[in-house]
Amino acid sequence: MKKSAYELLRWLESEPKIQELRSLAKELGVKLKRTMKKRDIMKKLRAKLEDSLRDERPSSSATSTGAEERKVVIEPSKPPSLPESYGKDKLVLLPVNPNWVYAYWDFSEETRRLIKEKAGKARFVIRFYDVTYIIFDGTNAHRTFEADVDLHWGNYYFNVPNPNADYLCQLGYLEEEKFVPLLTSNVVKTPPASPFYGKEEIWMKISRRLEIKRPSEGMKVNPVERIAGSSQMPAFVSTENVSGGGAFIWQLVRRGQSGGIR
Amino acid sequence: MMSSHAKGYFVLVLHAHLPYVRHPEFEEFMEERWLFEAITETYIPLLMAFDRLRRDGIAFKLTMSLTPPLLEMFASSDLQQKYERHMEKLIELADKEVERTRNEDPQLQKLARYYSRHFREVLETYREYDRNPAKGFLEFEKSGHLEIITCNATHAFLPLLSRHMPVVKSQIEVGVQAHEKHLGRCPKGIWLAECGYYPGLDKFLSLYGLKYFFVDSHGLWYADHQPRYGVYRPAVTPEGVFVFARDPESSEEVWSAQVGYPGDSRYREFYRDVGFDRELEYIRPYIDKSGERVNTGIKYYRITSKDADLSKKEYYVLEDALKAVKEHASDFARKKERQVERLYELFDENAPVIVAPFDAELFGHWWYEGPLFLEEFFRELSKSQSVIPSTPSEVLDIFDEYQVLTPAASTWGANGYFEVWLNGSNDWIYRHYDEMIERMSEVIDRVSSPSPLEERCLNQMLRELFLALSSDWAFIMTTGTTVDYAKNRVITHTLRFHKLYEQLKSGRIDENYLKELEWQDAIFPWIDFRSFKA
Repeated sequence: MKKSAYELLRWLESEPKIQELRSLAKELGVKLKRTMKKRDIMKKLRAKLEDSLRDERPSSSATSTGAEERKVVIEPSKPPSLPESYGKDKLVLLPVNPNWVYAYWDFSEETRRLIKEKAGKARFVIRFYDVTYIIFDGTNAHRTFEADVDLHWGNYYFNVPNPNADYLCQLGYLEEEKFVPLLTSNVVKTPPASPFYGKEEIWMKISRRLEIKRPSEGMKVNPVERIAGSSQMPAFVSTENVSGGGAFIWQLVRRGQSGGIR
Repeated sequence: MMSSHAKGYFVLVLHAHLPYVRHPEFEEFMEERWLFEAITETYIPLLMAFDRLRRDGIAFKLTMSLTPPLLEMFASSDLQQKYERHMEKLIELADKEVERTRNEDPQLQKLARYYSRHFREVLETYREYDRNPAKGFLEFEKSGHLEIITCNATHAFLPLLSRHMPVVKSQIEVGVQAHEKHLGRCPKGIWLAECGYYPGLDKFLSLYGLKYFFVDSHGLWYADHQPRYGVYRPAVTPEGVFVFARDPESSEEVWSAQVGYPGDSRYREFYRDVGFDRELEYIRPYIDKSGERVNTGIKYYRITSKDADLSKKEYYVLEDALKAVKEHASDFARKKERQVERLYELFDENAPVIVAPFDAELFGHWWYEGPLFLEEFFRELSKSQSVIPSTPSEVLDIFDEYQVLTPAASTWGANGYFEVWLNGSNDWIYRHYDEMIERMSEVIDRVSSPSPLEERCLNQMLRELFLALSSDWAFIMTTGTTVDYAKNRVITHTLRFHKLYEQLKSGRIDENYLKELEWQDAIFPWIDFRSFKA
């Protein structure tokens, strides 16, 4: 599908990968040097697209054209883009699956200045703490993990060892072997990935609002569990058009289909 | 109640949902076709199938979640007008096809005649239900064949919002309110968007009187107590909400790309459509105004073979497809009987409950013959002594003892967790979601007694937030189809939200701008921002 310059400009805002930028350049006939950095490629592409935009009328949807020309133009006529930063100190952790978590961060001006100051002198790292069933005081985590980070990433995926465990993370730097946290995240629980083996079952007798405890005999039917094999973060989904296999926007990897393709 | 031979219950659940796509500022808008195609190929054909079943006295029972965005779109007068216009054009195209195929293969001529007749029936049925399919479904609820449940307001993916109680709470509250507004009754149960559950969510369900919800199989398998009957008996959470879990076998049998029914060579091929096959000059009035080709719904080919190149497909033969439907319906009914009998023995003569949820749009839109399959399946099942089609409410009246447990965090997406809605293609949206949610809480706390204009502004902010949160955008980004539209929607609603926020904060609300948004993003006209309060 051919995309408009307008859409491509918007796409450039979405932090595409360098390979994607290079293939776009090829399509548009923009010559690049092998040694060019991502930022420079972006600049070249943007210039090319803005040039071609002059003879193109922007529309608000991917392909539809407006019928009634509305009198009120409410959105800015240049491609809309979202703020890259909200200028707040923030480190947010989200669970992805039993073994992966996603962290994103943002900084206030003040923190940004501090980071600039430390750049080149300190090592920036992210630390993960297993805080399952404890209230974290900075020292009492069951286990602590560390990874180097480039703060410019703004976000990253991390592999954590345990399903059904509580994690929190801190972003900071190492100075003279000491870890100085800059930001602390919320706590997330990774989803469980295996059955729980308990000694008892609790039953509720509805008619008498009575709770009954019985020894557990496990499950009477052995489930065939799916193998959660996806660790190919960040991209992982193949979307081939297979006849009779699932297609179109709400039928692709959808919902519903996970029971089908394993 | 159970007859003497009954050995188990079958609960079929169809989740009917489309994101809120309504662009009144355009005479035609490509993505609005999603709704039109779903009405023509899924919702109306289902209603027609239900009608035939009821007329024949077949005791069919099923459960459908009609999501709030779908109900809002059904009831939108401008979408209703657009749909009628769309159908009139489609009928016009079908008639042209009848003419055109006179000199082509007789098979094609027959199919063209079928489409021309069928589209007229669909439009007629649509009008009979007062141009709102929800009214049709409601009729079948009243006759006791259908149980309609709700969904969280805009189908937001709740497991990734669990940190934000106000948003989760208001998604549930507005989901319940929308159901009441459109259907005039309180929903008994809820389908959580993407079957997404996390421990603690049940508290909000109980708060709004919802009696039950659904999880994927591993939601029960990995619960905090082992479920004695696996997924084959509803359990109850400590908050007193009942939970039904998906039977993996039923989904596999219907859905699987390898062995599932929809892949049969006799069924209609999705990817061959006159919208793409006819020359541009001829088809131009019936595709997108920009000249981009789209599916029209007139398709002449059958799957033929899964490996066959699209150009090697053979003509679709209605009678053969119908035969396939009958075979598959009977096969599925026999499989359910055998499954029920097997489980009944295994459970020492305790009746299993088999729960089979599907996306409604699988039936008809994707699998063209799907609504007929369901019809034939219920006809087959009515001959069975052992399997009783049931609704969740009926099942809950049957048993007296339920195991108490908290299900595990889970979804029905690929791999069962959250990665369909959080991966490299869509993760950028979450920082914007967070910012909007924080700002929403901030302004609600600050504005203690809002003026009528401020109130409208706050309500619109909640609409923009809700529209941005629809799980469909993240999903579409993952699938890689129509990604630009999805991105654009998240960006647009976020920018609109922020603009309203700035205006509210600075005390300079631009009423014209607000009005414009109230018209464009008109979902839930009655929404009250106070539902966002913690």
